Amino acid sequence: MALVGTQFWRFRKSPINFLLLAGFLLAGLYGLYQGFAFKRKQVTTITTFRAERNTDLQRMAGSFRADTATTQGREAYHEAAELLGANWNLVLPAFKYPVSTAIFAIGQGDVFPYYYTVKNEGFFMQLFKQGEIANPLRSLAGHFDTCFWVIYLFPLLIVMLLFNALAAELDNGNWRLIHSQGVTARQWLLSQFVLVGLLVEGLFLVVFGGGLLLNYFFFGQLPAISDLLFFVGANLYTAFWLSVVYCINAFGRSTGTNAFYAGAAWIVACIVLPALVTMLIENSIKVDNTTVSRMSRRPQGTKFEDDAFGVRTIRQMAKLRPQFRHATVTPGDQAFYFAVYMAYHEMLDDTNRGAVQRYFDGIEQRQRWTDASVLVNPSAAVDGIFAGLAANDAMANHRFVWQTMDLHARLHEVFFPALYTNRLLRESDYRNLPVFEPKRPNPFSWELALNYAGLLGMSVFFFGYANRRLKRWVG
Amino acid sequence: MKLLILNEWRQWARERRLKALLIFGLAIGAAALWHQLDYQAQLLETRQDAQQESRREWLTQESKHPHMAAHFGNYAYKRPSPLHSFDPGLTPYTGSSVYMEPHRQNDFLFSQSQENGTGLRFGWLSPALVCQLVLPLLIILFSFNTIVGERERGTLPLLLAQGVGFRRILFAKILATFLVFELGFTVFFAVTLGMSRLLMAASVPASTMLYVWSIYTLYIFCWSLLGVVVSARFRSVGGSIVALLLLWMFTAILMPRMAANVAENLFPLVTNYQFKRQISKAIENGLDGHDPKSDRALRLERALLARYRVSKVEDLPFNFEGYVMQQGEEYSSKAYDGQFAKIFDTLEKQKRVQSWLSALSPFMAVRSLSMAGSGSSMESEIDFQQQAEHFRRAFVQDMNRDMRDNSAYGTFETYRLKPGKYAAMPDLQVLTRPLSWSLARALPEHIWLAGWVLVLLALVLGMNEKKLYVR
Repeated sequence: MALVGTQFWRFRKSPINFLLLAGFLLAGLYGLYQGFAFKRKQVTTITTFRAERNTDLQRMAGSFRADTATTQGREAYHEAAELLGANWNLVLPAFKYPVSTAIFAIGQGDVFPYYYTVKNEGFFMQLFKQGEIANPLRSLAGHFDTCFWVIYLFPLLIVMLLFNALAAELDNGNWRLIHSQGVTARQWLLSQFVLVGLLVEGLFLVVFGGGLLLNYFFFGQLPAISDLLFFVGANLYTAFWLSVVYCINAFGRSTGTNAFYAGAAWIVACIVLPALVTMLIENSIKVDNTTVSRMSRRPQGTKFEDDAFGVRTIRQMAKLRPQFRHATVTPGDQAFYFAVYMAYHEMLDDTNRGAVQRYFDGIEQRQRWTDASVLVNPSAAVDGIFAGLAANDAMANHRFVWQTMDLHARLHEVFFPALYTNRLLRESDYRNLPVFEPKRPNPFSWELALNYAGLLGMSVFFFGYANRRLKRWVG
Repeated sequence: MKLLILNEWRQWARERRLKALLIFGLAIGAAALWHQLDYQAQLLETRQDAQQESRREWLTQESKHPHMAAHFGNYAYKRPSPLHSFDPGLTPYTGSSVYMEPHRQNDFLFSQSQENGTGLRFGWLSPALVCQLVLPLLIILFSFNTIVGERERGTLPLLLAQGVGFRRILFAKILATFLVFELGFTVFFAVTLGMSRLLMAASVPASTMLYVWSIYTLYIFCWSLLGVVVSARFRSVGGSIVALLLLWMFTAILMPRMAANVAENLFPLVTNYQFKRQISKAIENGLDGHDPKSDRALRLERALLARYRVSKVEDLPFNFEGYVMQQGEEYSSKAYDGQFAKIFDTLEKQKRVQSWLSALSPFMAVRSLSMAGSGSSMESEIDFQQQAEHFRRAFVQDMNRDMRDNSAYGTFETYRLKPGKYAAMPDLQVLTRPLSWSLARALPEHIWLAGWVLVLLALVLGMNEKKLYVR
């Protein structure tokens, strides 16, 4: 401990060290601001979008009490009660409210939609028309968020402060003097690493704490398990980099060699391996969007004017969806062709679901492999894990899609009974309209635990290996 | 000079570490090349098939009312060009296909970045990425001790004592580094182009090839100069490599991210929600909020009745419904154009910020120029989207015109398109823009890249051994 104090005394002597720390802290705060700005943009949009849609739905529900003696009142009533009018105007909101950890990791949040509008028509037909305006210039460069700060800049700070912790003393001839005081190479290194570890932790705590406060005061979110897991992950990742640089110090004998290896380690871990592993994963798991990209087309054709086809379609749907088996709509009814059309949409969704699931599975498998590559590709794996904790990866988007599909099905539970019995919608139907409630699975998983254990294992290995070397170390 | 260069190469040949680095560079270059060639060739095949399938569906759809046929719609798939195998640029981050139908401009969806893991954000392995990121690193690792190493070993005074001028030594070191990497790059670039030409059965204009080759040549020269200049400025090998690696990290990793994020902070892009809202508002209430849809329709009807001196729309010499349909289409197109213009303007402003900031980073400058040369820049992406949109408008207009001219009012349920009408509509043909079109939008980056080289050359010319020993 006394040695750590000595190291701090030495650290304080160089103003450049404080400049460096201040620079990194500023970068961290800037990263936090980026995450905050992104999250705020999403929250603002979701709030406005929900309010607008709910106002519309309330207005429609209120139309049942409108004075139908007036033209306006009659129009409003028809809009809400008649099947075609209601179908056109019934738009439910589905939204992916950013979780608390999203303030730290934007991940792929910029390329996926975070809200959908849901109507009665075919789900995939609607889904694959809704995207988010992409900013390719920003996506290409990447986000400067807390995750970037931790993944790229923490290792850089550790490398800059520690790459020649021992070699510098050898180079300037101080080592003999230090050693003559009874200080071993291991003690000397450990004291420096503990000091830098504490300083890095301090920087991280400031930014992490700031993020939690912003979450609480601006978004009313309390710290969640995913925040804790993010905290643990960031610390494990920092420990991993400390162990790597510790190892380089144990083996390198000169500042030049250490700089070479430490620089190479950073480049390999943060640039080369992620690119290579992503390439391998992309080649191993093929994803083709041709089939799903064709699901936007509205079904049409003369078959929908054929009564026999219509009766068959409605019967088939009643088999697939027993809740609508009491359909009484017949070719003579006004709603018949519309009912056939909607039944066709419903069955089309069933047919398409498999293809979409396969498409999503391929993408998710790619992400799982990235996350699981922690032993060979720690930086990208931890980055993927963080994006997952922030629910800003493809898997989170797919979960959101399936939850939205569930909302779509629940909308049918309200609309279809009226459609298939050829009756007008009632005020009570509007009261029974489903409300989207985002569900999030437990962020903790055994896969995550295993990945973290892998990271910890590597750190222990590097420290242990370096310590063995340091035992035999002669300056 | 020749001897000095040969001597440098001889020294490198003796170093096992440098040989290993060279092998690493070759391996990663080969991996990038194989990956992109395989990926882009497969992508081209898939997208060509998808486009043909979309066309086949269009042609074989049953005879129906023109507006229903327009609603059947078409798909546009973005196809890669041979140079995308070298530099895919922004293509992974933009949508790959769009469904085109009347009344609305759908979003371009299915970007590669949605289909990949988060690993893609660390950089998508491509020959351009290797040349932009890895090549400078290799140059650094070859050149960081070119001068300072000679000083530490004590061989620099020996060289000087033999009457070799200091600047001559500097230029020999620069050329030794430059020639090795330039040769490597030229072979790599030629192989990439040759193979992508073979696999994708399309050629690249000689001027484009020469241009891309030239900007990378300048970039390699820039890093060769930097490596030797820094090596000459530092007293220790450690200091030299640390400075060079930090410079690389700052210019190639930190600056691009900072520039993109600052640009987004200064000129934030609207959300899709705001965008769609503005469009529906403009369509409902008029482009400037003073001309509601109902008034417009009424005014249109009155004007037509007055012009043709008839009392009801049924008596017009054309189908009023078709006319209204086209008018509505043109109006909504105006609304979309207005909002898209705002988005493109914001992106343009963001790009301008990045262009100016690329003065601090040769990586950013070369990346932008390489994308422009390879047809994978922001402008190329926007151009493709606009071409697809022109096609959408053309086919919808064609259908509306048929409805207006050939059908009678109130025959929506009964009128059908004549045979051959579907085939008469040409398929989507995407024009490839000439190099000059792309380069006109990347002037500042040329200046910055040339500026870096000139400043570094001036620094080299300003160096002499006296200054070296005074420090």
